[in-house]
Amino acid sequence: MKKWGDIMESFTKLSVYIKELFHDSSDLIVRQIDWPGDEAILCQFSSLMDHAVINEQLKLIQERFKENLTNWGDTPSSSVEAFHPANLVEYVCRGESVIILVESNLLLRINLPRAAYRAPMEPSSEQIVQGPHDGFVESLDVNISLIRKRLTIPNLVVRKVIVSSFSKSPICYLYIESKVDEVTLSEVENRLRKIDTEYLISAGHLADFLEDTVWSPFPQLMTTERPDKVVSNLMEGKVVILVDQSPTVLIGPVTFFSFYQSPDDFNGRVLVGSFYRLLRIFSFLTAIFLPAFYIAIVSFHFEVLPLELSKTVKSSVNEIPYPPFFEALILEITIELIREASVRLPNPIGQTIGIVGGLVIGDAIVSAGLVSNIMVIVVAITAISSFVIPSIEMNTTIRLLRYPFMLAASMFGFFGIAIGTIILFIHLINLRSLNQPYFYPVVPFKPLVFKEIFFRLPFTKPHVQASSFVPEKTANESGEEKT
Amino acid sequence: MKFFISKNQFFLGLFVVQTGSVFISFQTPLIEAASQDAWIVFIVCCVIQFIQLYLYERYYSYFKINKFLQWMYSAYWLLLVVTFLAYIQKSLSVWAFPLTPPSVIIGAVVLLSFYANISRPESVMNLGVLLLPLFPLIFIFLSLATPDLVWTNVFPMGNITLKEWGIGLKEAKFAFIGTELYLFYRTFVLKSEKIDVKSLMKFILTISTFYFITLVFILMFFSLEELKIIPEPLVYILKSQEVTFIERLDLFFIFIWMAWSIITVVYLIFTISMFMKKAITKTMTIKKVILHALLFVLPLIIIAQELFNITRDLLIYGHFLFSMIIPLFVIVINMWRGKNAEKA
Repeated sequence: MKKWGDIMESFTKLSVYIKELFHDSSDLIVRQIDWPGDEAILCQFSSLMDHAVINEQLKLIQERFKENLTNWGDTPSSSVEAFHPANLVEYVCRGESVIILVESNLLLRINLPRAAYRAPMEPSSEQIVQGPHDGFVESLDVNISLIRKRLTIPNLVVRKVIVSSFSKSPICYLYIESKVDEVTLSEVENRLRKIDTEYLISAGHLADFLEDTVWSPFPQLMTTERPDKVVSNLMEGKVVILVDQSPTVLIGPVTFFSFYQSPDDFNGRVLVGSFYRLLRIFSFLTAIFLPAFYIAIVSFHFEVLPLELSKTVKSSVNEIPYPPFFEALILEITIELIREASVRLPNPIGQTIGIVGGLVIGDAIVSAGLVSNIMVIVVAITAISSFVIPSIEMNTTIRLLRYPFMLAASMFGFFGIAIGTIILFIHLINLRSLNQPYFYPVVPFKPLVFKEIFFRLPFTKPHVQASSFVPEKTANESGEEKT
Repeated sequence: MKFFISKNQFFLGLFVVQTGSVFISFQTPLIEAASQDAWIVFIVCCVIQFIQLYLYERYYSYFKINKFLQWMYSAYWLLLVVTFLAYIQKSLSVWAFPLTPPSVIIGAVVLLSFYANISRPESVMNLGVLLLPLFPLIFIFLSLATPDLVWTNVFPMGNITLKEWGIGLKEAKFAFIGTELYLFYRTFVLKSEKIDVKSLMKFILTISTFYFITLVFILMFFSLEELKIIPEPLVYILKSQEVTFIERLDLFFIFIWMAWSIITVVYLIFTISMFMKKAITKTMTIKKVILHALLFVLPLIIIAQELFNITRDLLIYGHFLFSMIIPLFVIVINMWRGKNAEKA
């Protein structure tokens, strides 16, 4: 480390020193500027600021300085503090403009960074029919403002932490002071504190650190890009975690059933909302079990089918040269390929891929005798059922889960499905989201809460709305674990 | 092992353990013993069962057993689990998988039980919830047979001898096998949740009604002569039903029953594991591996050597010993010791 006094002797030495700190980056500006009665050096990244805005602000501060105001440097977007090289690096990297007053050994920060953000458009993965159509963007401040404008209350608390040692990515967690469960909040804070990583790039990255069981296929924190969804979850006493430069927000603790709720349920009419929610929960069963069920029947339990249907299925299956499991696998993988291709391609081409894949390949594959037409129907219904789920993560989880069930059904028939179902159930019971039971209200069993899960109840009875997490129902309140 | 369960979880667990494997099989021996009066014998048995539970509730705090008795109970439950597993395999081979080797079926069930038993205790205790949506299904399936019931089959009444009453009661009591778990799990119920006579009455009425409906259905559906050749009459009733959309209802029922039995097995193995934790010093996972290896091998021996009827008879007498005689003995001794200690 060089001697600090030597460096501060002249502009040249200080300028060289600062450039060394930033490895002489091309977009770094280190320039001497006029300052009454002192030698001043401006230091900033040209890529992260707007010259006109900074000039305007600088002019204002200099006028305040000339007027001999006591707190001349303190404005809503600027402040003054003692100079230290470590602080200099941190502020400049964040996009602030820093002015070093050499003789008075002060550092003036102008916090007006400029970065490119897109408009808060509706997220394409969470579209709704009715209700607000704005969504989060890649800016922490914009995202917080989208929440704050909906919750104009002092109880909405925002806490900021830096968790990554190298990239210094800021993370914010939000909660409503009067609603949040203290145990959950301290659990979140504790887990955030324990994060040991060099860099943090996305909400998915952060979720790995916060989830209770990383290897589970089920998401234990909800992700959303919708501010209205975040607000309703905050009102339920949950904690919301935002990552800088990510439009995806994490919400916890959640339950399995909260992934089956959509803002549309609450924006529409009571009966309509209830019907579609029931349909979505039913889709969970068809999305996981339908291909497995069909494979089990065709491979082991043909006698379950009525005679007329049995004839049709048998004549269709007899033409296929390999077992039903492979037949289903070919179709399922084809659908996954079509889906993956349509996601990666621009929208118009993506739609074409959907048509080509769905209609042309589907028809050709049946004509070629590679799969039976009944299997096409089964797999198509399964695919549609999995896409009904409002959460993209739960959607992918369900799609993944059907493969082990298909395998179990092809090996053991209904027996395999029954064994698989019990294993799945045990796994769901075992899961916890931020230390809260994931499979509530099935476990702990609260029969009276079921109506709130399966139906969208009227807002005129606010206490009967589904709440995936209720602080007073915490399991570990008395130090005893109530199962 | 420290965990707490609610009153509902406690009773649900007991219900699952007691009904588990036996609810499709206890009716035939009972009807064979008590003929048309089987339902009356069963009602009397339910009253006895209620009194037994009442006494359990009153004196469970005195039921503290030593290591020797812990081993005895573990051995008894092991026999129970092994017999259940053999029975599950036997039933599946008759109704669904005649060609599948027994080791495959038992291996799958044992592996599942192992997975459940290495999970948290509360996960095991909550497994019974999975069965709740299946209860209405069973009754919906059964109700399809209502037009075929012959109500005069339950007459004439009151013709059985005292000996037949005795055998009938013994067979009816088999429906409540596993009832001694009340004494073991009662201490885990949250102190804040009180179990009174009303709770016991509700529980006994639920389980009795469930059994009673199945018993009366069988009595009304089959003649006594037919029953002699049908081992699982309940499954047979469903097999004989004609529904437009499904040809074999019994297949669905057999898998519902199988899931039910597996959960019963998991509960019982969990109970044995709890005792092993106290009795053996090796690590818990190794103990569980050894236990499950035993559970894989022993049912295969029972099936290969055709010992099923012997183990079933042993279980009936074991049930009287472990749910009535030993608890009575232990409770009386501990009460006497307690009084002596007070005097001293």
